[in-house]
Amino acid sequence: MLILAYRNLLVHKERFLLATFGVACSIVLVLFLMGLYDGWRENMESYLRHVHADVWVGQKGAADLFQTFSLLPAEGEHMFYEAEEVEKVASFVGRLLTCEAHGRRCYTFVVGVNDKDSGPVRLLEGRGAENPGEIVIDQVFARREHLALGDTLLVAGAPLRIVGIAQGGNCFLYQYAFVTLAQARQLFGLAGMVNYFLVQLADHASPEEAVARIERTSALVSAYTKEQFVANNIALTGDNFLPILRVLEILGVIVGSAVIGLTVYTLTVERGPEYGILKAIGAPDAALYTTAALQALICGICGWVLGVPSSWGLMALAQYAVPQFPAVSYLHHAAWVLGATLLMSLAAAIAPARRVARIDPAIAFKG
Amino acid sequence: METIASKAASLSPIVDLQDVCKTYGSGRTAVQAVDHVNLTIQPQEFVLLLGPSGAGKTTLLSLLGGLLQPTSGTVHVAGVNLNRLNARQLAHFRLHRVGFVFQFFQLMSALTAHENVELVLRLAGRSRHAARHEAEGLLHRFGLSQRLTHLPAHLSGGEQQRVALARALALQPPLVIADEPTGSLDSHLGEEVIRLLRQLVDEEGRTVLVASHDPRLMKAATRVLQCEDGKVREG
Repeated sequence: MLILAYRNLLVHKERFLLATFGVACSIVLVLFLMGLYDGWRENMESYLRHVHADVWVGQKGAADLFQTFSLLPAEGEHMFYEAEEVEKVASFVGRLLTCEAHGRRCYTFVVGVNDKDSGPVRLLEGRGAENPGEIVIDQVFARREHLALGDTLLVAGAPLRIVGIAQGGNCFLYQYAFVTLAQARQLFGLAGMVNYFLVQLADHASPEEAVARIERTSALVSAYTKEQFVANNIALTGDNFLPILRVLEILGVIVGSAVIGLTVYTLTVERGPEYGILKAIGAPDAALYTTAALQALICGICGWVLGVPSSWGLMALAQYAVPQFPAVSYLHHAAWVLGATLLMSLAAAIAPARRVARIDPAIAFKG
Repeated sequence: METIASKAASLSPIVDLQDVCKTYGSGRTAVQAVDHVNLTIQPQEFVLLLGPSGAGKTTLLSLLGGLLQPTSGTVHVAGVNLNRLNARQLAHFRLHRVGFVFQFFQLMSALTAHENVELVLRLAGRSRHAARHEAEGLLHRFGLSQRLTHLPAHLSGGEQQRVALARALALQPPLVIADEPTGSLDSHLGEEVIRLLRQLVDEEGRTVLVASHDPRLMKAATRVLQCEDGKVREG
C-alpha cells in the first residue's frame, strides 16, 4: 500500500509540496521554541552554576538575583568561619544597572565579587576586571552594543573601560558584566554591604546540612544550596515565560496535525471512488487505513526532513541578527520532534481513515 | 475418491440464491431492487444478465459479489454462505473468490498497469518479487507486455479493460462478475473483451456472469437471464 500512498500523494505535486511546507513550518516553529526553551534555561543557569559557591546566603526571604532583594552587612562574613566545614566565604553584589554605550541607553547586570573564580564563565578576550574603573562585558552585549576592548561604557554615570569580553553570561533580556567588588559597591552605593555571601565548603561537607546550620545560627538569613539557588532563579522564567513557549509548541503541533489531516482528508475525499474500488476487489479495511496513515506519515516525515535543517539554519540566522537570542539546537530536539511528527501524522490520519470506513464498495459499479 | 469428490464439487452450483430480496430505504420511500429471486448458476457457465437500467442488475451483481447484504433470503457463492460473513470475511471472500470487471475499468489512476495487478497479489500476501513476476506474466498473457509501466491514462480503453481483466484473474477466482464490460469500448475492442471472457470459461473453466445491454454477448453466453423490476427469469 506504500506505493499507492506515495503515488496518490504525488498526483498533485503542488498540493503535496504545500503540505510538506506547512508541516515543515510547524516543525520549525516547534524546534525554535524548544531551542528557545532550553537555550533560555541554559543561559540562565550558566553563570550561576559557574559561581564557586556550595551555599548562597542572603537576607531572610531573598531567594534569587532578580526578583527578591537581599542586603547583608559585610562583616557578617566572619560568622561563617566559625563552622569547621566552611572553607572560604566570598562577598557578592549584583544588580541590573542602566548604562550608556555610544550615546544609547542599555542595561547590564553588574556583578562584583571578591573571588576571581566566581567571575565570568569564560574570558574570550582581554583579562578580568582587577582595578577600579574596569569592566568585563559579555560577548552578546558587546555585539549588540557594538563595543570592543578599550571602549568606555558609562555605567550608572561612571565611565568604565572595557578590559575583557566574556562568554556564558547571556540571560536574553540582559547580560552579566563584571567589575571589582569595591567598584560594584561604589556603583550601587552599598558601602559595607553585600547582597549575598558565597560559601564554599570542605570536600566532605554536606551543603544541605550547612544550609540548615546557617539558618539555625541566624534568623536573619536565608541559605540555599547551589542547586536550590539555581532552581529559584530558573523558576522565575519557568513559572512565567517558559509555559508560554510550551503552549506555543502545542499550537505548532496542532497546526502541523491540521495541515497533514487536511491534506490527507482532501486526498481521501478526492480518491473516495478508488478507495471504494479497493474495497470492492477485496482490500480489507486495515489496508485502506494503512494507506491513509502512510500518506499522513509521508507528509509528516517529508515535513520533518525539510523542517529540521531549516530550523537550524534559521536559528543560526536569528542568532546572527539578534545576538542575545538564546536558542540552542540539539539532535535530541530533532529526535523528539520526529516522534511528535509521527504521532501527529497518525492522529491526522484518523479523520481520513473514518471517511474511508464509510465508503461503500458498491460505488465501484458506478461510473 | 478424489474424482468423486471433485465431480460432486463441480456439480454443486457456484451461485445459489434462495428467495433473495434487497430493499433500499424504508417506509413509503422503500425501493425493492431485488424481489424474491431464486437463482442457481453452475460452474463453467457464461451467464448474461440482460435488463433495462434500474431493473436491479447491479444490485444483483453486488449481492453476488459480497458488496451488499440481502434484506432477506440466502446467498451462497462458491460454497460460501455470504449472509454469515462479517465485513472482514466478506473482503477476504471478494479478494479470493470473485474477480470484478467494471464498465469504467476502475483502475487505480496513480498506479501503472503492472502495479494495478500487483496490488491484488500483494493484498493476498504475495511477496513483492512474486507479485511482480505474476503480474507481468498475466499482463503478458493479455498482450500488454509493452504497456507494463504505463499509467491507465496512457492506455487505450481496450488496454485498460485488459488490465482490469488481468487484475480480476490475478488470484484465479472461480467466479468472474462483469458489469457492462464492453460499455465503454468501441465495437472492435468490445469483441476482443468478449473473446477474452469466453476464453475464461472455455479454457480455464471459470464461471462468468455479465450484466450488459450488448447484444453481441448473447452469442457468447451459454445462458441468458432477463432482469426486470427486481425479478429474474430465464431469457
